[in-house]
Amino acid sequence: MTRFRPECGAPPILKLHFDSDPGSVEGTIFLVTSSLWPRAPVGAEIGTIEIVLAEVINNIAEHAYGGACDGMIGLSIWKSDAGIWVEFSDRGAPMPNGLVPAGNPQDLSGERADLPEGGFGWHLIRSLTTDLTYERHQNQNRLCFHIALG
Amino acid sequence: MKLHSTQYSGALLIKVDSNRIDAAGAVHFKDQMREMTATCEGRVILDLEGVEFIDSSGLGAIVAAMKQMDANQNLELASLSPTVEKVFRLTRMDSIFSIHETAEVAMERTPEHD
Repeated sequence: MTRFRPECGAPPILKLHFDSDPGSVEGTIFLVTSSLWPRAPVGAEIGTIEIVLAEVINNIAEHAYGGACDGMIGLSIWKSDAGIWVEFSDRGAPMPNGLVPAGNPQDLSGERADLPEGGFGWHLIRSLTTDLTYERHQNQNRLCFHIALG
Repeated sequence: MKLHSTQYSGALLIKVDSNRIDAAGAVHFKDQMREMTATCEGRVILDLEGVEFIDSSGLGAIVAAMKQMDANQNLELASLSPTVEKVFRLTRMDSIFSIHETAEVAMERTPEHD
């Protein structure tokens, strides 16, 4: 199957810039889903997109920008045969060791008091995306991945 | 985000007056849960009807709410939306909590009826 890749140079169907504020998440996801489905959105697909985009935005806000709410986040979306390509960019700190976290599932085998309260984000992102790549170039982070839909 | 609780004979029922539990509201959610569960015993049922979305911070807040409860209390969940259910399933947290189709179904399963 030949998938479209954003590197091919076609214009995105949506290009946004917004602040690294947790309050930006809901509005951003609404813009993405309403541009993909102007009329009748598909519930399960919106859920997948919403989970992935919220986790990536929260990670950029919390880790790349260290909790500052005024960092710039860029988001571009392209349609592919089987879903969408997503590219995030930011000017915050690089990923630790220049690598995307592995996102292994959390260990839930312990007692109630030992259950993890965090560290679920990259596991959710990796579970719902493919072809994930990360680049650091000219003080900018660029994260790109595909979300299969339908 | 606001939580509302009602004490029934077999359980404390807590409803969430918001369509999302996310990074923006997770700390507030956890604090309200602590207040509401401070004095009760036994079952606590968190009714998630109307909550369409939860992110990993919201999930962490629900886990934290359970961890801050006493050993004689138990947190159960009801009415998960498809997206909320997906987050619980992918993180395997659905194996940690008792999950009921609706709060009504959960309330029927009181110890008197077992």
